[in-house]
Amino acid sequence: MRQARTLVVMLGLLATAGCTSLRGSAEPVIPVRDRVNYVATYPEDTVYKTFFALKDNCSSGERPPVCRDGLTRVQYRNMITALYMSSADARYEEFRTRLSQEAKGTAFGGNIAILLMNGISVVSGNEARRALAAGSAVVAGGQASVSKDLFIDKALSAVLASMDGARAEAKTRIVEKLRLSAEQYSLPEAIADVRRVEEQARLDQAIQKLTSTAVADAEEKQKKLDVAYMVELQGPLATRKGALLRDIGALDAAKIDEVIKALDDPQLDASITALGASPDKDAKVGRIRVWVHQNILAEAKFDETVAKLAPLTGKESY
Amino acid sequence: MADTHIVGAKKTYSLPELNQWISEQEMQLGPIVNIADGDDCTAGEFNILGALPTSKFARVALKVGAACVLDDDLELITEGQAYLSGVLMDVCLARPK
Repeated sequence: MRQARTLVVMLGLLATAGCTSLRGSAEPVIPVRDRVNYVATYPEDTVYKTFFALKDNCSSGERPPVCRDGLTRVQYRNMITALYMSSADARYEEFRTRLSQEAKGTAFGGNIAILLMNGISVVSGNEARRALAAGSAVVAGGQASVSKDLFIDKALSAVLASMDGARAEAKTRIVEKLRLSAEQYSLPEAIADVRRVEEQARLDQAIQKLTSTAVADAEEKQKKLDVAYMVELQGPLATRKGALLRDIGALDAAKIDEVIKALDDPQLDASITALGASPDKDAKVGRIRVWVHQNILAEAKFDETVAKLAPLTGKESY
Repeated sequence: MADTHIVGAKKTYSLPELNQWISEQEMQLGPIVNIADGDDCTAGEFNILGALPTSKFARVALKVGAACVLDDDLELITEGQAYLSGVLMDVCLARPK
């Protein structure tokens, strides 16, 4: 039977389609347009009526899709489901290929990068939206710590893999249900499930899934560090402190002791004492760095310290 | 022997602000060697015996899935976690070569 052969071919497509590689994939045996157009000859309202029809055979003058042409309801349901799934797969393969071809080096690619980095906003609310907005700005501004193309290359593979996985799961559930009787799993239910497979081919959902995984991983790997104190952004003061500390670091061991004496601070003295009997110069410089970092938080205090150390550094200002 | 000092950054910093924060701490404390979530903040661990960087400050890059995606001119220091605008995220810590 012609329809029985179609059923075998389409069930084969149902089992294998949707996992083609990102690049260099072979041309499909049946072009995408043909697979989609073929489904158009089996419109939904007609196939539902045919599925629920009592008789298996066509009456005189009738032709599929208005009759089942000898197929049982289960066979007919499975054939139509396979046809719709093949059409969905064809569309998905086309979408997937276009994504990989157009993603790099184009505005479209940039938009994908921004979409990917904004993806967390889909799941995590306002704070996440702000976080990823910052990340997007970095990509959009071209000052990223990540290369946009490299990002797309890696991220897109992950997103496509996520979509492939979601589709494969949804398709597996359909294949399992196709073993059920026509009463237990009707054609409208099967078509609705095919729609769910189609819904998996959405970038935002794939990104959401990836983000959820990343968040779960992060929670698993969470490691807390014992933070001594919080430090806010300091602007130019940080640069000036850095210059002073570089000059201090260049002094010899005897001068370092003089620096400690000139600073005359009990907290610094205690941290030097804690180093032991005869700490080396580098260890003392390290403690001076920490003291300066922690205790000099305003311009006035910095200028005062610079003045104290001027005889040792030879500089009146930084 | 390594001698490190750990300080915290506000969890509300954006990615550019956190990178600025790292460079400011490196100017004063030494090279950053680790980044992780502290108690309600991002914790940066700095080697106070290392030379004070004057350029090529370490940068945080967002991690994509399980991978650190870095330009060729960056070398990975470590992978860790940081708050970016209040959201704890997996990140890569890298430095220009």
